[in-house]
Amino acid sequence: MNLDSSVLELNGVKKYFPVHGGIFLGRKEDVRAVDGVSLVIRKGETLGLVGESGCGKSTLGRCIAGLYKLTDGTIKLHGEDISRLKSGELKALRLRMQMIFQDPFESLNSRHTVEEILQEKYIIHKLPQKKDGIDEISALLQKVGLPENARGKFPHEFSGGQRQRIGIARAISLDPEIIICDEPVSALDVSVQSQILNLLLALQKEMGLTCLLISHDLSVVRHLSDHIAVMYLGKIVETGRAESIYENPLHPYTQALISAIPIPDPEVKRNRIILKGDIPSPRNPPPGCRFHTRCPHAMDICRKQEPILGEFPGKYPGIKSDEDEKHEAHMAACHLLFNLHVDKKRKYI
Amino acid sequence: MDESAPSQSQRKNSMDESAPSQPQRRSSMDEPVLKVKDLVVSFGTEGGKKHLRAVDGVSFEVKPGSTLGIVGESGCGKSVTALGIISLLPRPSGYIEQGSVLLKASNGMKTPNGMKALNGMKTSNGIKAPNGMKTPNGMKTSNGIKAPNGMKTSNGMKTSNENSGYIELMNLDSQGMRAIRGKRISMIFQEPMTALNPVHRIKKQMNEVHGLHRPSMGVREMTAKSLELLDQVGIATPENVIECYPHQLSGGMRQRVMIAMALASEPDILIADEPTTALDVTVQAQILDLIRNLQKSKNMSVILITHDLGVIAENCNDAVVMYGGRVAERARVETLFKNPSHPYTRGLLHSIPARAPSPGTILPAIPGMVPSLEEMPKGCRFAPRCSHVGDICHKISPEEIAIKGDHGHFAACHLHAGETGTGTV
Repeated sequence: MNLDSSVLELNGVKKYFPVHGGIFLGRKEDVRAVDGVSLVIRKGETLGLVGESGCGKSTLGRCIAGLYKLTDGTIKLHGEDISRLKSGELKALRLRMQMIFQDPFESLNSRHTVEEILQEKYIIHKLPQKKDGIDEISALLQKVGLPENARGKFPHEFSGGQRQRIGIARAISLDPEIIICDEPVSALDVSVQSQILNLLLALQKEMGLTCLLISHDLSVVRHLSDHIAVMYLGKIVETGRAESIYENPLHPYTQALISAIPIPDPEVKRNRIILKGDIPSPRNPPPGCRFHTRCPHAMDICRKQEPILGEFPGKYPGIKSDEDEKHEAHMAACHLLFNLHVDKKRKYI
Repeated sequence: MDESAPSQSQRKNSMDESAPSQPQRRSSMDEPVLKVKDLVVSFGTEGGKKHLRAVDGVSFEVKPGSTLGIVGESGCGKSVTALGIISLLPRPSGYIEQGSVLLKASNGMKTPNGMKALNGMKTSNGIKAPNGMKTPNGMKTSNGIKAPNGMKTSNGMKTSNENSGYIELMNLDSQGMRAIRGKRISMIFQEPMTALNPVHRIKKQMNEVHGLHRPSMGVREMTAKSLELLDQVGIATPENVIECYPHQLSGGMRQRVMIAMALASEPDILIADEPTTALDVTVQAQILDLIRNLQKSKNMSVILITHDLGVIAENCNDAVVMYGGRVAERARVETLFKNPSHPYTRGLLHSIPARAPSPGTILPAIPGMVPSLEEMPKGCRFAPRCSHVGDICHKISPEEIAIKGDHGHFAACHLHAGETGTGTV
């Protein structure tokens, strides 16, 4: 892999949460929240991580941010392993990587004013709060579209959208390289959601941020992402360029997921794939392909053998080199792809 | 049940000013099952000193067997409207200040050919005070909330001709309302975990519903009925689910149980308040599909409350867009998406990423945010965020105006002043 362009490289990342139970409260079983994920995020790119609740997407985000210790696997930032850092080293890492959370109310200290919330980072990292005579906090507030008088206010005095702006200001305050956005707009109203999406787009362009966008909302992911990875029960089932995934989803789960988004246009009618049942528990994932219990195309092999991510042959626009080709490739983990002819013309959006 | 027996002599006797295309030929099939007229719901705050109108003059009609969508952002009054219809407002602070909610009398009591006159709707309803003698849901008179104005309750409307064949829900006492609620109009809520009782098994909760509506039923019969209902809502193993506690079920399953309970008495109208907001997309698709199929098979009307325009586009026949407690626009769904006429509706549609011309473009967002009820602007409530705002918008609150060229399309915006489209929804 080309080290110049890949900022973040995940290799076989696993995160199991032990469940204690039984008479002596011994370790009974594991919840396999993330079960062997490999991904690459390149510089200045946005990778959208999509999946339903419980698929492990937030856990993966937290693993990358160093909030959870990995069970197995490595995470490399510019080729340097960051998955087993000590707390002092983590502090240095946080200068380069920041997180935006879903609920802007829960993630801001309600007893601190906006100024205190934004100052905290400069104090922790012992950095000057003035650069070339300009107050950093004023500059930040301006950047995220908050008035100067917001400094002295408390989080509860703001609306959801404004609180999310404070959260974003806090995340970008030390010029990080990578931002992990965990459901940044799902708690917001439609009209405010678009304001925040615009802000994220503008900031990313301006600061050259590399983003990991975690969301269940496929239309949001599509709008912001260059690449998309679809997760199901702790595993990546499909990755590829955003347009390639949307226009030609390969995995039956991705197909169902895309077909399930209601289109805000009554004139567009589409054949909807309605999946049966719910996501099984990650405590006890089904054997073989984890999706086989809900898959409309499940075969015998799916119940026994776990499919691996395989490249789907095809040409993709904008490929320049071999490295590129590897990165741009559309991959899916499904037995169907290797056994059956995939109808490339079938479109789901 | 508190119903006025409609009489044959009360024929439609005058023309509607907005002249619908076939004024007299409205068969009873097309008659709306529910007519909400100028509904005003207020909340008393600060010990009854202040009154805030959460819903301010909302009118719409629900046609039989069709789905009406109410869409808007949080705080626009869409849920309060629904709670007002079935008198489930939080007491004692919430009350219906004025307005009328007319429910079509059930089949048995209906006159052969519907005889709804379309005129004079405005004169109909009496203003209701929370402590008037007709308390719609047994509201206490002691709570010190004073209705701001007029306390007359006119009962005369029950016999007025345009409403014959309809029951005025606002005139019902709590017992009368109970007979309607659950039986004729059922409701399902956003978070089924809070709507289900966590300490009782599904069986007990479902049987309770049957017991309330048909006290003569035996336990075995009730359970059989419950199992049948669970089967209808697509639960694969009803025998297992019925023995579960709510926490043992997934979100989608809980919502199915809620729907099964709501369907227990075969209601004419199902009000679904954000039924899929707490669910994942693939489960949302299942639940919406289920509601659609049940609606078809039972010829039920549905009021679907949501913030998602995609859900509206795919599931509804008619839509009401609400903003700040008022109706901004209402129309057939196709019309609404093709020819959005209120700047708010247009803004909403443009700001959805799914409708962006291409991914990654800056979305034309609506600036600012929804004002709180306390600081609602005087004139048009959308004026501070509107890109077409004029002087008049800050002074006068716009009335609903029929949009030219579209049938049954109304927008409350001064931009359309002077237009006379074909009225009647």
